[in-house]
Amino acid sequence: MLEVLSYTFFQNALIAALLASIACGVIGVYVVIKRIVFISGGISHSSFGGLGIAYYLGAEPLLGALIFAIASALGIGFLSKKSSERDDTVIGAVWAIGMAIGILFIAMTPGYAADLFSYLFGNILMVSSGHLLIMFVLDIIILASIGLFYNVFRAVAFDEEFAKTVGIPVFALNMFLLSLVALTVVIMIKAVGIILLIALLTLPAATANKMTKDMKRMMVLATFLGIIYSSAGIFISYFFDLPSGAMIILISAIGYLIATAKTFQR
Amino acid sequence: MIENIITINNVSLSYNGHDILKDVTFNIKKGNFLGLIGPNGGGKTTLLKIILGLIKPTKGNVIVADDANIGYVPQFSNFDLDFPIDVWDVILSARIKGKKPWSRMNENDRKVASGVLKKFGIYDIRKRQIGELSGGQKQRVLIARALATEPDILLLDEPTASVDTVSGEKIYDTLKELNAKGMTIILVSHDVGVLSKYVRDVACVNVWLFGHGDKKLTGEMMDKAYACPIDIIAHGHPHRVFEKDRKEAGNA
Repeated sequence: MLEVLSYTFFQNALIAALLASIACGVIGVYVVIKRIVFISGGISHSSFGGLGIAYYLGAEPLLGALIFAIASALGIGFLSKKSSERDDTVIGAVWAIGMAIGILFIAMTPGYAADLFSYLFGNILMVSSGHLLIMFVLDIIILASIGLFYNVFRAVAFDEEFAKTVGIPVFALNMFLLSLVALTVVIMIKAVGIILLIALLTLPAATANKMTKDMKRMMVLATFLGIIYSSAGIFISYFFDLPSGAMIILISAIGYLIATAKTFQR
Repeated sequence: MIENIITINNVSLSYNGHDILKDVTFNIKKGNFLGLIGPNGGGKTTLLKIILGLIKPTKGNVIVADDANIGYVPQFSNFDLDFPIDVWDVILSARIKGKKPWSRMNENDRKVASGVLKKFGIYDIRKRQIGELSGGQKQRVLIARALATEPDILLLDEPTASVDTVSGEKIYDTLKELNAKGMTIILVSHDVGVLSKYVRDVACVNVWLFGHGDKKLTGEMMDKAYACPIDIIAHGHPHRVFEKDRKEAGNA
């Protein structure tokens, strides 16, 4: 059974699981405590637009997704603060527009879009070393940014108004945090796919929050949970020939449900 | 002559054609302890936020003297009980003031934080997560956080709404002490007993300003400001009270 560990594709899958878990463990905590899960869903889905365009142009789809994810993060962040439009209306629109653009460009691309499914629902067993490099670089950017702005990000998430009164550039930091969510989204696409990733972004962090109320511990724990969930998902999906993205998400959900059931008992 | 620390010039704010505040003009003298009263939805909180610069008025302006430092105690809100932050880090968040977002806390920051925590008797619970505090403890944390910015002016929005009477009195005694040391305090409150016992001046806001400062806050004025009459004068409060009518107060 363990000889699979000597296959490059399997090693890549486990490394991808680690890299995705770091991003979702750290950024997922902010997403959960700042209650920007729906915004993150919008960023994730809209990235499909850029992915489709890159696919059409023959470029790396993840880079197209990255551009669209950041643009939609900044767009949603800007419009929800600076326009009188309702936040969720804007998010819903960006969400669907991105998906529509992606579908359109992929349909226009000659030939059969074989790996379309893997971008939507993830296929961690098909991660190339090029993808790993992209994921690694984005992880470094995320960790460096959080290392620098850990306190101010938390202060803004805790009490935005008070943060303003002490002169914290709240708007700029919110835009920056949303951009980091965009990077996280791109890291997670290959692992669990655009449609499913919102669950892996939030469930480990939410589960961790039930076990600890210390933010740094929460990040470490969420990362650790992410690694367990995604490696378990990889093994199960490989040996039973089941879709890996869906498997990882369902295992995360089971972990969350167990943690929630424990809080109910208390 | 005591200088004005805050000058509010003809401030109006309207939202979707509704007046929240209209032509509010008054000065707050340095070292004052001003009680801001008025009915719910009368614009008291909005006025505080305009003074803080959180909301831009539609018309008029607010001038804060010599860039005096303002500390803000928001209305008690139900924080996310699971939010991963402890008392200590809540207080330290106030010390970000004047720093770059990536700056670290230094020894002085920790000294100031310890100081305000001890002042409010919450030093021993500094490692508690915010959701584990009682209503009174949370309220004291919010006030301590504002003081950790080392303000010249302290704005408080109903700081004892969720606190029992004894803790409330302790909080007001501390505020009085701070005021005696020269801090200007503006307090939004509904509590007539508190107003009569602690504040020096009263301003009544219900869209317009109904009387302020060196003038008597008459029952008639209160009746105009509030929809129903309020019994304030009968408490024999010690602060200065004089006459002033609506027009002079800025309701042109």
